Amino acid sequence: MPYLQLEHLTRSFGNSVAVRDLSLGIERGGLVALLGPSGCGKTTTLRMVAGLEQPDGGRILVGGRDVTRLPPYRRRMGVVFQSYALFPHLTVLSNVAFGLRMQDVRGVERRRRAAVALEMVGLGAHAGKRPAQLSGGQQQRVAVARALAIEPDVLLLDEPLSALDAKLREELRIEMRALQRRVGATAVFVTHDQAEALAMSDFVAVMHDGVIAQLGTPEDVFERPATPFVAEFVGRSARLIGTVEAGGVRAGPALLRAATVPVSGRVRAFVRPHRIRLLDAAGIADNMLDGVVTAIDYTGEVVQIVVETELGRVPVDIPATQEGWRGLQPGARVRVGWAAADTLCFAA
Amino acid sequence: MKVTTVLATFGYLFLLSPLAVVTILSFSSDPYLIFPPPGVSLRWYVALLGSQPVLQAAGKSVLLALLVTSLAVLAGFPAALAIARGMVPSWVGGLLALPLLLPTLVIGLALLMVLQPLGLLATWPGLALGHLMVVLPFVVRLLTTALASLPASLEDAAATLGAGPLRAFLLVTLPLAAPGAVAAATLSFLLSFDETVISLFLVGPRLTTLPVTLFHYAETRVDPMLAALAVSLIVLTLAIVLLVDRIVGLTRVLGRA
Amino acid sequence: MKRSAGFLLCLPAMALLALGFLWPFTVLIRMSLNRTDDGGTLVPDLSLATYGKLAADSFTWSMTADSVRLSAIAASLALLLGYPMALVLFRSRSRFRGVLAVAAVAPLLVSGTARVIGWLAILGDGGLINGAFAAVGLPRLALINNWTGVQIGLTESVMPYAVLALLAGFGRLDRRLEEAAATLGARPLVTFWTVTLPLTLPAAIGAWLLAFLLGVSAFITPKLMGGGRVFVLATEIYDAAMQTLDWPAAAALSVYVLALLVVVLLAQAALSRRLA
Repeated sequence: MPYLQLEHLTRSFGNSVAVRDLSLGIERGGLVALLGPSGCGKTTTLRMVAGLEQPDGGRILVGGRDVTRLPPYRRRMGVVFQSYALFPHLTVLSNVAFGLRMQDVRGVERRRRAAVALEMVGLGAHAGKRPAQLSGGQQQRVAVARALAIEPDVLLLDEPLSALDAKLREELRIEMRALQRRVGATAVFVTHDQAEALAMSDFVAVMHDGVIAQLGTPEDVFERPATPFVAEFVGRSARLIGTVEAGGVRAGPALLRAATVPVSGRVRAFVRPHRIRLLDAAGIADNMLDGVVTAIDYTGEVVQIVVETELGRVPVDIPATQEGWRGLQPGARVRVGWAAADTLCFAA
Repeated sequence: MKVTTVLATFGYLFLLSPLAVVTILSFSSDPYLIFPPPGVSLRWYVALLGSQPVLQAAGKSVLLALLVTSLAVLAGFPAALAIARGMVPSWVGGLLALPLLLPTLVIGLALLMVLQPLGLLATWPGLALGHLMVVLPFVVRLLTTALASLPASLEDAAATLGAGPLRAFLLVTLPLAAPGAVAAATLSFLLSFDETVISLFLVGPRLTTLPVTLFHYAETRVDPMLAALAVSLIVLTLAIVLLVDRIVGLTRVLGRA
Repeated sequence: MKRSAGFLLCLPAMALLALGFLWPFTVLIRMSLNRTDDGGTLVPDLSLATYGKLAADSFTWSMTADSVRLSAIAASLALLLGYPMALVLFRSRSRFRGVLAVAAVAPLLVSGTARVIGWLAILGDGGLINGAFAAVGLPRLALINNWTGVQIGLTESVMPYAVLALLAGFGRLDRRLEEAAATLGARPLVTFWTVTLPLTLPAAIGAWLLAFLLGVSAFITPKLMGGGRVFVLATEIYDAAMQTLDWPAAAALSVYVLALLVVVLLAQAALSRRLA
């Protein structure tokens, strides 16, 4: 039985539907990312779980209990806001202790538990400061500590890392994941950064237009997207268009081979860049295309090569440690190839 | 740009000369408005302290200002809260600012016509109502700005941490709105204390205010005691402003508004 | 629920507003429709007779002309004197900026009566100017208890408002535009004429307008500095209400003044649309 259960949630604002018939179940201690572009309804969903918005329809259950009609101050949810929402007039410790104060925990015990939560995020030394005196990363950690201090049933995070720079984001991402695991909190976090979603979560719910397009493990969502939207939104890909024929997908002069193909009609095909290889003269693959190199981008761990083929632009990702890319210049003629199993097809 | 500086200095001199002159005159030893004064003396300040009508009117003005301030904040705070949180359409804010559009002369006259038949002239409620028309728009405006600058996410955060609406208000909204509220109260007090024109219509033998006393005094005879009174008022106003600025950064709050 | 909660919160303030403003205002208009008979007693009526009486009285028109002239000159002088002040204040980066700002609006914190006393001491027979004149053998000038005194006092009393309005409008003036003009070879006066002035024109008009509106309805300065010889709309309204007890006339005059203010505002709106 999932610990956090969302059943058929709907929410509209005026004439536009923000969330439609959304259902999701999360096991105890699991971390689910709600991933999607802005306007897809992910933040609205989170706010409904927190109780800051009322759903027009549907139910929210925590540990079997229906909390849909409960106001936010009666649900035991820890929320980390995008802006952190730290109380500027209270010290860091008082901020973290706030929820405990609402639970009428007595002063000494309250401060002790708040200090423990603060230690967990490594900010014990800053207990007496005001939020304004802390850096962005520190404020974010205090927000997390404050949410965890009340030992919530569910931890909700609204784009918790979006206000931080790239390096800090990565650091805190790892920290937060470790913290969540340690505490065993059931967590939902909202993000539009797919790298973050894939790296941090047990499950990813890719949202589009108010519904969940695909719910799966990060690998599922990345390697086996269920819809064209997911294929496009998560990760980069080569996009090819064709029609079904005997034996594969006819795309211009090429016949693409795939593992599964729709019965008939137009097809949108996607191939992940890291599944595409540069073939030397003797190389063969299920699918092969000739083209011209137009860009070589060295990004440190991966070399992103763009090849312009007769079927369009094909991105190829090669690990920097592999030698095949050295000496390549824009304008060079190359042949790319990939396995049939790596052609992802959707009816267009 | 030197030209601008010279012209500006001229402007400042023109603007501030009455204030400077009044201050110097209050220490004059001569009972006529002679400037520069022939001698220095504190006799006028002494005369002030000994003048029953002046002291009485001063006391009334202070009490009235306190009454008006309390009413303005009590009525204005919830209204500002509603406006700042978008709980009422925006024209409500405009409506509450309407009295500012009319000259105080007209407001005073209209109130005279309403209060006199009711026998409410020269009464605390009558005068308070008159002052509130000048004070309330400012209080609502200041408090609305102060409350609007509080991010709604703070109240959301308090709610998710278990604070019901009342506790969230008392522990989060109120403390953060406090500097704005103090600024509003201070401005309200000063506006009421100095209010002259509306009061002219609404006072009487039973109840009069200090600015009206000052006005009538200036109408009939002119001696440096007026100057001493004026300077005392200026000093009092300055003292209050500085004190409140010390405590809650008044000038900063007003600057933002 | 949210809707009604909001209105409930606004109820006390709205009630006060209705009680102290909306209701008296309707009573005022209603009063202007009454009449006073020749004996001076109030006659309840529902006619425009009082307005007619005022319109027929040439004194009304001469007084209007005087009031408008007084305010227009005061506004213009206040603008002329206040513009450099506002400019200096706006550009100032020195640590005295705060002090200068406070000094510019300090007169607002002081009651009008106090300022009048100051002027009486400067302009009076024994005052600063005449004292200085007498010392060098020049004849005395009658600067108080007449139109001149009121003019000077009124100018000074509306200046802080003009400066504030100018400052608010100066936000559109970007220092870099003047710098650009300078790098293109314009001398300071030319820069002022071709860049600064046009950009600040809307602010200046707004400031003039504010000063004018305040001047037309000003009461304390004309009453105290006029010595009983200066008649403007504001003093007439007061006298009608408190001395002659001709309330319909006072009310009608007030409505008249308000109408005047509305006309000026509309004219300004039309003017600024032309300029935009």
